[in-house]
Amino acid sequence: MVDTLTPRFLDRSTIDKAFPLVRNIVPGMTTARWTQFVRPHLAPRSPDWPRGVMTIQNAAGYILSLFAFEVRADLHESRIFHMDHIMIPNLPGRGTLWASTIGAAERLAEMNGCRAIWAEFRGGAGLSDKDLLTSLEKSGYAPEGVRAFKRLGAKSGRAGDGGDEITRSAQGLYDA
Amino acid sequence: MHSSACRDDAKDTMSRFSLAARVRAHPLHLASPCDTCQAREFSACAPLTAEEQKRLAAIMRTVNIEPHCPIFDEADPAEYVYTITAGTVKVYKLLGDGRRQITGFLFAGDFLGLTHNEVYAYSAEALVPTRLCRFPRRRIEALLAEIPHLEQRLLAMASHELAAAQDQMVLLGRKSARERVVSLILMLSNSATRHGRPGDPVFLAMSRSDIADYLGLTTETVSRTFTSLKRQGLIELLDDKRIRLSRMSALREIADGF
Repeated sequence: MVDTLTPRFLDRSTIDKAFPLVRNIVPGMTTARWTQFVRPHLAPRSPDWPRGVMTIQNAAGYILSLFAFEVRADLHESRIFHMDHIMIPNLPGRGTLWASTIGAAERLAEMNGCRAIWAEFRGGAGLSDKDLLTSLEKSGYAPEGVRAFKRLGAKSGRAGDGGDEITRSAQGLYDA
Repeated sequence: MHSSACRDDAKDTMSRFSLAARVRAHPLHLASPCDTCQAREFSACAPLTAEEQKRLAAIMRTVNIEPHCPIFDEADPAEYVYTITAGTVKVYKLLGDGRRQITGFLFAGDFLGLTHNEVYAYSAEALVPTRLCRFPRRRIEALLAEIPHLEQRLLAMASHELAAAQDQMVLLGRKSARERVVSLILMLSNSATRHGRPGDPVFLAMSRSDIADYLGLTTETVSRTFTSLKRQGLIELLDDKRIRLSRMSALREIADGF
């Protein structure tokens, strides 16, 4: 039952459990690829600049939604809470889940002294862009800046592998 | 594989139209099917007032599905959500290499119809004679705006499929073949108890092949494990579909990996 929705950090022992939700949002996802993606997010980092994956669980401990987060330095806002890979399944009654997920992110951002939240959605929430924007605006969010996306041609024909390489490089820069 | 009865249906028309032919609006002169629904206590309908119940029933249709017939297929347009009021349903995905991975079993009181965007994320098939309440997705979402306290309840029900799949991930991830089989038996027992049915003997609506596809084992391993558990006096095979749990505490220890 979903009488109580509780935010809990994803850890190594619950990576597998989150997979059915991820597979529902990202068709064709494999356990190996999910594990490879999420493990670096769970690795310990400076307590001043935390990152991780937050899940929303029901009273029985089942994971109903999740998002990845990272506290980043920002020239304008000093500290900014960045959330992405937001996965909220397209369930009837998802309004409650949506509110719990966004609420957990905002509490976490406040606890970490962040002055703003940057929420990035990329088709992961199972909602149309219009519905997504409406839901965000109801929660006090507004479009800000421009975030552009260009898919680069895969030289080896292994587009998925190439994408992973780029992601790993970017994380390496943040870790440095 | 679908039974010959399902294939006969499919010869004449597409499966979703076959399903439509089996959908019946309840005759007005009879009592509402909700009045006699044995799953009502466990379903999304439980907290509703009589008036709210009536409004939900107005957009609902009852669907009867024969064993081994599809309810919907992966990538079909996700126009409906369902509540199972009787029977057992398996949900599965076809893998890229043609293998079938059963991701969960759902029972009376469970909700069916989890989607991503506009299509179903998996296929669903009845294992035994199954009855469902079918709701148009758009209309039920519109109803949430009018009956706010239904939303949380509906979310609880709609997350059953995710819960079943997460149980399976735990089973597949860290357990031996023997532990997986025992865990499934106990899971079915607990599910029956939760839904007001006896948890012992356990009723196995699914075939050994379905169990194998769910647990990531071969059919032979599943059969050998049942025989081994029987030989050790842990279970008693009453017939092909019913298992008596002879030593519950020992079974629990096996499931927990002791």
